[in-house]
Amino acid sequence: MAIADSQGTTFTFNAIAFLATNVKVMSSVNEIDASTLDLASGSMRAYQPAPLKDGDTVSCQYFGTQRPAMDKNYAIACAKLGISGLALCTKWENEAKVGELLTGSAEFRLSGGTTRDDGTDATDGTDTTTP
Amino acid sequence: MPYPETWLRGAIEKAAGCPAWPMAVPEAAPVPFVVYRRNSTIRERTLAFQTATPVATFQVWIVADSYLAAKDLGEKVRLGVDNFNGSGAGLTIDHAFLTDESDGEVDYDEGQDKPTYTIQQIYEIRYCETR
Repeated sequence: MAIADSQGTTFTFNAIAFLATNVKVMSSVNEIDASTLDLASGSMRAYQPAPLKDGDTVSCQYFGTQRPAMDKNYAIACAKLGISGLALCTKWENEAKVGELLTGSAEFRLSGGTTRDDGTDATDGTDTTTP
Repeated sequence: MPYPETWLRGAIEKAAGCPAWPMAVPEAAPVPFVVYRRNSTIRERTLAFQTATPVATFQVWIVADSYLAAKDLGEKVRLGVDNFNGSGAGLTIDHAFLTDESDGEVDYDEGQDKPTYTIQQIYEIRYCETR
């Protein structure tokens, strides 16, 4: 897999272009313990994915004091990370620190139908779609 | 072109009432005097571009013919430079902080029977750079 430069990354949410210093997309699966009593003593628990899953989360750190709207899903885009679709802002923070620029950070939950390239195929296309 | 050095020199000379020299002093320069030098410049970036608000660190040497005179001059320089924010010398300065202060070496110049005393100060200046 080619090593690519982070510079040139842009991040927008609700038509606002953030002065981003760090953008991160995170995926996880909710698991349920499907172990039964017939497992041998000392064996590993048997986990499986939960029937329902959460959308991937995206976090962004930026210069400035943007406060993303949290009332509904808005368009989100980060071409370098292959993110395009809708997301709900679930958290934001603004910070003032001695001698430093004003900064902020926010977290987003991708909603159904949003595409995210997980980078696992050769075509580097849109190979993950949140149902 | 505006530089923070231009503002720093003016602020020091106005506050201290003596000449401020960049880097080195002419051989015949009378005491007291001040010497300043830029030690470093930190430029922060977003993922897409330069923020254009660098933080420059300046070392300032305040030289006088007695210890108390050097201390008094150091206080005058501090009052003129520390905690400044605003416009000066065609430049917008976000902040100027005195971050460190110490006594320097006692120096016996050639042909002089009285020593000179030095106070060292370090300033951090964040300014808006022309893009």
